[in-house]
Amino acid sequence: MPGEVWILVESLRGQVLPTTSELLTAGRRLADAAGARLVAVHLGPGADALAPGLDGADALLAVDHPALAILNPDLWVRVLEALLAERRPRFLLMGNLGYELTADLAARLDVPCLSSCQELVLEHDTLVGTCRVYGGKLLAEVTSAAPMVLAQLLPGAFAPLPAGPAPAVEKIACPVSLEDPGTTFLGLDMPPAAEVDITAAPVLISVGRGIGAAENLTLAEDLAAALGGTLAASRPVAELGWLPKARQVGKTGQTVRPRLYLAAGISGAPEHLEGMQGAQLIIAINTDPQAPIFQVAHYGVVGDCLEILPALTAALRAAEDA
Amino acid sequence: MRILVLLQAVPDLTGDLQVAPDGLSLAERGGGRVLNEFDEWALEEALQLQAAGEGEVHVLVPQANGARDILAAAWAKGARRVFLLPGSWDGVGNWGLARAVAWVVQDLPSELILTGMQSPKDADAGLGMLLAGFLRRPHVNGVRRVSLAEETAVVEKELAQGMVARFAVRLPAVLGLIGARTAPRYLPLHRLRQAAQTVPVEELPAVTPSGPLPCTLRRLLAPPPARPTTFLRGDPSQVADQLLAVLREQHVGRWAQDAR
Ligand SMILES: Cc1cc2nc3c(=O)[nH]c(=O)nc-3n(C[C@H](O)[C@H](O)[C@H](O)COP(=O)(O)OP(=O)(O)OC[C@H]3O[C@@H](n4cnc5c(N)ncnc54)[C@H](O)[C@@H]3O)c2cc1C
Repeated sequence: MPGEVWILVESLRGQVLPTTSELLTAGRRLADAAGARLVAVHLGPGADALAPGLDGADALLAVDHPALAILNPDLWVRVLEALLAERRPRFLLMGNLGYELTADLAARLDVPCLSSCQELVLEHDTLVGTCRVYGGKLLAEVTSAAPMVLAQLLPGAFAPLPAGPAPAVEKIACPVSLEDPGTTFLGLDMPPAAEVDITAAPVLISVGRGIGAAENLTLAEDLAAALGGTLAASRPVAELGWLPKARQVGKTGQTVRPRLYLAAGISGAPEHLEGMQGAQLIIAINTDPQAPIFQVAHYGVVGDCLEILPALTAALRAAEDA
Repeated sequence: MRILVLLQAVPDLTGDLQVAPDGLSLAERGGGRVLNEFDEWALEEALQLQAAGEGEVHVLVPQANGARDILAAAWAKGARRVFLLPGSWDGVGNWGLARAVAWVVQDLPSELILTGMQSPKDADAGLGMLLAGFLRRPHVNGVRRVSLAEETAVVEKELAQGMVARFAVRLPAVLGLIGARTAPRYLPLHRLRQAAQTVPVEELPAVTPSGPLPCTLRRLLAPPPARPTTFLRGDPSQVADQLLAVLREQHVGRWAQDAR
């Protein structure tokens, strides 16, 4: 129905993912402000089992087709493009799937899109999105009064809703042909068994590109040894091969909630914060006073980690000897 | 096979980013522009494909401060042709830019377009996926490795927790890269300087984005902190002593038992 607010359900192995609950929160607010229905949209089989996890939605629209069981970019774009063109909702909100789908759909349908939104409000009939840009150093407030807008929300930005009744499921036939797909899923590779499980470590000493060179990692290793901690890393450090991928924290790495997360030379891009902002105590060392990591740190040091790390190691050793 | 790599000059995020008095743009404080990090991985993967005899790399850069340096660097690294898209792209977002690129690539035939998965200024969306939509070509975003067969690219897409999904993508296609099989190659400064003198930049005809832009930037602002941060000051040993006091007070590390 025109005017509805839609969210795209994200699920894994029959479970609704936390990002979906965040979409429901954001969607509910918009739907209430617009006096519209909030509709959860699910592609693939298994909608009935997911419905109880989608409380907050007024309805669950399900395209139950086995070819949509896993994200296949071309097929999902085809189906969503057809649904959006036919039913003309006012908004479609997406979480992590939005990285794959939002822009392509928006361009095909010639409708506006917003990405990395941490806030979405309706002012009169205009959507105002607050988007994280420049690695989290700035926010961009973007507006659109278009009749349809697609938005990708920043994971972690919206608190889940309290539980409510499950929505009624409306199953519909696949609105387009899924023949001759432009993308074909070939398989899923699990990561090799990790030599360490950073998600279980109470103390993480995490290094970013600011550590400068692989040989400087010994400074973090020494501190980890003195403090009884485990080494972790930002994506570039893992990508450059300075530390194994299993130690990467963030969106494409691990989500950690240690007692202490000490971030050395990490800027605090949204994709990194996503994996560590639940830590109980965050200490950040960075030469840049504007680094976004300081937005989430309990304690901050504007300084050179190549100097602070060894100084802290020495202080710990001295305290041990005393 | 022609591989077109789209590269963008973006503000250097390690510099001091300040909003200009208009509230809509960045104050240029000599902080300079650099190649978008994820585009650098896209270029590397394309050059690896070229080195393996699987294609010929062409590079397209929209005009901006630093664009010619990026073209020179790409050429010095091995790109066979380098194109500059003239115009002023700062106020049009990726939406307007993608529309313009979709228009010009009709005259730059390529079986595969590679670009970075995202850039720091994406308030609307990533350039690559917008382009895929305008061109109605299959896409995969978040790719870290590509191999090519006759009419298909086989790609590895990164998922959460180190998982990787493999897809076959029918060509022509657009891929958004987040990594590459090897880290971006290093270019010595003297070779960059040399290339800057000799790079055969091909300037494309000017285009302007057609139609109104669907979103309006109302303002840029600094984000409020999620929580108050206590900053520790002093020389490294003074800071270390304060950190030690924090760890002791918070019962971390060897003081964890004290909490029990
Ligand atoms: C889909 C997607 C998924 C992603 N997944 C992840 C993920 O899982 N994990 C992740 O980390 N990133 C991820 N990223 C990448 C993310 O966007 C950033 O590029 C990355 O987090 C930056 O890492 P960094 O902070 O180490 O490097 P940079 O951003 O380069 O920051 C380096 C920092 O070090 C500081 N510095 C420099 N020298 C010193 C010094 N001597 N002492 C102290 N500080 C210094 C600088 O001021 C700067 O702030 C992802 C991106 C995308 C698009």
